[in-house]
Amino acid sequence: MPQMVSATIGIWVENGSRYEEPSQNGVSHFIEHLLFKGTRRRTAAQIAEQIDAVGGVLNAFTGKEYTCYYAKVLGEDVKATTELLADIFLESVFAPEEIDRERQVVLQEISQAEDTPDDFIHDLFNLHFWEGHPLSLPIFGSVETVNAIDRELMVSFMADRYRAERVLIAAAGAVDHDRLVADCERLFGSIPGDGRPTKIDAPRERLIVVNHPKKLEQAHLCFGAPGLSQVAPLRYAAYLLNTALGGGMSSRLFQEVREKRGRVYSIYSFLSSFLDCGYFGIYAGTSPEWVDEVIEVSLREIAKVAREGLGQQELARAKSQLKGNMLLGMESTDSRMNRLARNEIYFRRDIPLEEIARGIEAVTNEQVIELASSCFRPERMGLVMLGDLKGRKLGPEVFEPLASL
Amino acid sequence: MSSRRLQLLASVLAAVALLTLSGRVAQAIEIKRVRLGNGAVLLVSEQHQLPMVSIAIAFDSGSRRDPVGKEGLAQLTAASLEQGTKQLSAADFNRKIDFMGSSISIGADRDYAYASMTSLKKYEAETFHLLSQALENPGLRDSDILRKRGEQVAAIETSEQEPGYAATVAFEEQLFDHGPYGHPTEGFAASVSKLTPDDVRDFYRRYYRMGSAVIAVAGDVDFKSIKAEIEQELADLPGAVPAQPEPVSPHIGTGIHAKLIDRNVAQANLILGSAGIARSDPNFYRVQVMNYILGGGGFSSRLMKVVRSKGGLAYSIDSTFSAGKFPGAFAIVLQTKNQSAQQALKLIIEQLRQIREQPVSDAELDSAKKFLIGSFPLRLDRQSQIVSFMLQIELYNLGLDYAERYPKLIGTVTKEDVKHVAQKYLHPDALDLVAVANQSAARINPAELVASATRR
Repeated sequence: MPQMVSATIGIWVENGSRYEEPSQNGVSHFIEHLLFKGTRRRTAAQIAEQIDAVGGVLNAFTGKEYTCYYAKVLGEDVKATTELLADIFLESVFAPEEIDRERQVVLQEISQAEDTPDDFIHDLFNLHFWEGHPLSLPIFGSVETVNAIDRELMVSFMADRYRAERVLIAAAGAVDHDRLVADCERLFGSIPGDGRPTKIDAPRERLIVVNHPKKLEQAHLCFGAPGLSQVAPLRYAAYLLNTALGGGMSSRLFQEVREKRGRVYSIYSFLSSFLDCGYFGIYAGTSPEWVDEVIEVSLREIAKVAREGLGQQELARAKSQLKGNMLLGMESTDSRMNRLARNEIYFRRDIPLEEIARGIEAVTNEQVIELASSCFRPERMGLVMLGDLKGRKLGPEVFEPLASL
Repeated sequence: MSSRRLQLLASVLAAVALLTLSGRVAQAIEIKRVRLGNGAVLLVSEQHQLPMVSIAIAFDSGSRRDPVGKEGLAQLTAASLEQGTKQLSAADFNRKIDFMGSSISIGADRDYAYASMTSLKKYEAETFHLLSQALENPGLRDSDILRKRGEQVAAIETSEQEPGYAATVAFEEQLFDHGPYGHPTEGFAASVSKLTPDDVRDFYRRYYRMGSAVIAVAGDVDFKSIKAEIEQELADLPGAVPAQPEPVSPHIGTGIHAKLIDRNVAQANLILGSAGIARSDPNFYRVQVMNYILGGGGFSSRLMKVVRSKGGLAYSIDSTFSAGKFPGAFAIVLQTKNQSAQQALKLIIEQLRQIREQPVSDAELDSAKKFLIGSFPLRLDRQSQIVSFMLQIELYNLGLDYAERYPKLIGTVTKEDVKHVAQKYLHPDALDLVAVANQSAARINPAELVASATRR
């Protein structure tokens, strides 16, 4: 992208909380923290100072299936920054005193997440909907597991997972491709190979309704159905169903529950998709007295879509909206870098925007119906409520509006 | 681009001025400025790399204009303007926007209200027409306003559950009293629930005036045609909003003025601070450098080093001077375990003392400058960022050569300047403190903090 001033470089590892044993939960995220805490050549302060000196951004995120260390800098600083990324990635020392200090920081991060109900409810939903499966575990881990992680576990876990076959480097913006490739060969060439993620199984969904009483003014609801994996052939229909149902201000749930009835201050649907599985989720924040109405109205809308599909105009609008958003979302070097890497992780190839646009365009109303009616089965739905219903408990009868499906 | 060329072009384009971003930016950002017939200032930056356009309009109708007792009115008015036009219902309005994959949003912050849009180039005219209609010919129906009011109250009630939000609101109330910055932009649940549709329509008629508005456009446009289009679309809303008198700056006496709010939270949310500066303060750039070293500089800042890295006491801590049209707050914000609140506060006060008493090191000064100057172009990476940068230049009178001058404004700050502004604006013995915490576990002792602040 020669016209861009900035460049974003990401070092990705196909490792996240999904690949942890329950007793190790949180170790991937904990390792991510430690990679900024000093290498053989640099102290933590020197790492921060080097990136600050060029006005850049150096950060990382850990997910369930990947971890990414990235930097955003001006084009002229790409080379030095790639070296910095290689240094933290390959030469971090894991000093015991840094581990203990950072452990406190991670524990605070966990507490903060618990104090933010509209985020925390997503963790709760995962935990219950896929209970017993590694995908149900929170990325941060729990207070107990984080307290139990020691240096030995971190180092051996990293040696196992940070292998050449699981590492991927993506860059976008003001970069010279050939030069970057040569630099990466030199800097990362020594990483030993093999170590693909071991074969993993998809979780089995079952009906759950969980009430998580907490003294809160608002009630937070997260409910959903088994969805699609990242690579499922019907994924374009899922994008459209999500857009039309709860993906914007003209979506059905937004219009029906928020705008027409004024029963929620926030409602949206989302797709949470992984290598081999996923779920279709809906979040709503409402007053405790409107909980039942919000669930019922939302499920009725869903049942309607599963029976009749979308209107002709509605489908066309969702397609146009999705394509427009996709193009507008390509503006920054961060989002381009992310897209490149995720395509490589899930598809092992670059997916051109035109291919996605064609995929979206080709979706038929029959596919939307097929998808919605096969996902939203009353016997496989999950719902979690976080809030204060004054002792009242929601039960599986809340899924009654789907009974006709 | 040389200043000679600049002058030449300025004369060619008559009332149009030009600005280039110099320094480490490979490609200059060129900005053209013109005053329109309706009195609004238009700034345009042609960006032809991507087929998209971003436009934002700033109105002198931020929450600082909220009358006492009607806090939240500016925000409710902005939100209500998004609800369609006289001809289009809110639902139809949204459908039209979504059909193009465009976005339109109207919202208020404390100084200004902003109406903005982003669209693909091919939908620019249609999207801008919708935005203009929402501004000039808004629906403002009772039913829509009351619905938005209900949502605003619910959102406030939800936010109040978050300890960090509750702390911020209490801090600003304590610091600014009933001044223009003394309430959150969204208002209070009690004030918003009393607002009427007439309040909203009056506020709109009074403050949405093109004569005091600024319009910024960045994207795949041509200056002449976008100017003509804007003049045609936004021909109404004449007149300007009279300037608002500057409030008396808040004054606090010595001592730690503590407001301790008891909540059953896992983490104590603490805010410590005092009155800060306005954006127009000549010390602004010195304060930026000083604050970067103190607590603005992420992992490199002194507060982060002491409280997070050394003490392991907090996941995040930062300090900010929120300089606005009027003097804003200086605030240090952190979360820590309830039990370590007092210890963290002591460490912070010690840092305030230190930066006042001892000069910062050459290395600290150097890296602060490098960061502030170096990150400048990275903050202008997207059209939306360029648009808000242009608005800031105009609204806060930064001058069209601001981007060229910025490296010098920061680069010439000395260690003495840093110490001087630290002494002038940091007062470890006169602070407002808000703590939302499990108070019986936190056991915050303001008297002991005062003692640590004045200890020699």
